[in-house]
Amino acid sequence: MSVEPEVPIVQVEEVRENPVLYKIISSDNHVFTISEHAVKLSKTLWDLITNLGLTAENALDNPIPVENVNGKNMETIVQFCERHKYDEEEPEYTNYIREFVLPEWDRQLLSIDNEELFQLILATNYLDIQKLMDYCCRVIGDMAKDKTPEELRIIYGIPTDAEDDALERSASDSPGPSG
Amino acid sequence: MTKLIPIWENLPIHFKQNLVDKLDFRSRLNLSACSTSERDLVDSCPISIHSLYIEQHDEEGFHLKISFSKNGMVLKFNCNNRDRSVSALHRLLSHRKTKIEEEKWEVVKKIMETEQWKRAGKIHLYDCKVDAYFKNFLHVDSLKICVEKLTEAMLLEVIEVITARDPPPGSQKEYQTPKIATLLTNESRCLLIIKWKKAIEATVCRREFLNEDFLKNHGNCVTLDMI
Repeated sequence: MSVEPEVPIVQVEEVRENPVLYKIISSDNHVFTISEHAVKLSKTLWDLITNLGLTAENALDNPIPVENVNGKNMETIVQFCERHKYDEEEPEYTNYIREFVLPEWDRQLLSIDNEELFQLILATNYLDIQKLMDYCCRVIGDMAKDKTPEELRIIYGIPTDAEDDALERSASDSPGPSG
Repeated sequence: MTKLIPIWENLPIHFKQNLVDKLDFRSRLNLSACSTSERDLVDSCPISIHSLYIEQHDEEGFHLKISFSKNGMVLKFNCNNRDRSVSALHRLLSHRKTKIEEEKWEVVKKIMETEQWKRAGKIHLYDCKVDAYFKNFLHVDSLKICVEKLTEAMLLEVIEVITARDPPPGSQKEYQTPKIATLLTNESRCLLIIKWKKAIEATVCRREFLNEDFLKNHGNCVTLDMI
């Protein structure tokens, strides 16, 4: 089934080497084109493409709807994937990232307010893009530097034990699905 | 679109664990102080130590410097007797997620080959099973180590080593003071081996009541400071 785009297609980056292109539609009907190398960074999208049997011939005629991600986050994600599509895989990625300094380009991309960043993390988690998850993690981790527990609670929106208890009580007081 | 409240709680747990893994040690402590849930989260993540530096400052004791990442923050522990920082260090290293990977034992082996190790007079290790390197600990005058399984062969080895060794100079200050004391422990019990002036004695004690159980047989005149 093909979905008619309601807004102009956002071409994030001109792609080289006549690659295979795919179309992705965000929850708010923005349409994005993304190259095969870039889309492979998202395990969710690539699994979907594989399962749908999309090929170079029919890919652009069959846009992929992603209802859990809005256009703003999808734009960031597509930009990120296009930027890093030719990156070499690090053999010991976790250890590497521990010492890793976020490149300036990525720091700029992820310089968004806290709520947007958290929303982007949820979208990234849904699309299963490990590298972007690690980068977001680094940004969020950097926020914690030299912060007191009180400051951390505010920055991250962490509830206190008392708030946790209150939330639990209200959940247990509220009637269940059958009540 | 409705705002997700609270945002932190909606983050996937593996992301939070990944995040904790990237925090420096002080930030980990601060995060764990935020709430019980965050303490559980931090406790579920292993502590990664990049390097450990041992520095002799004076005759009284030595300092340990632990770095949690390359060029990262360095924690200093002053390891004098009964210093509070020793228990802080113990707490850090005995974190239930702390583990020594197999290849790291190569480093431990090298440490055991150093002169400092060979000349050590006192080694106390907690919650670290040393079965595979048991023999490398038997040269010291005061020893506390844990083993997974205490075998007869191990016991004979300890007794043999203790019998063969000359007591260290100055160790026999009083008649009732043990010359060499060795303590082997497992989960609940420990075996206290002491070389007296003319005899070697091994006493099985409950780990929690070491002093009480030992003193039942020896009275208050015995000094247990050596162990």
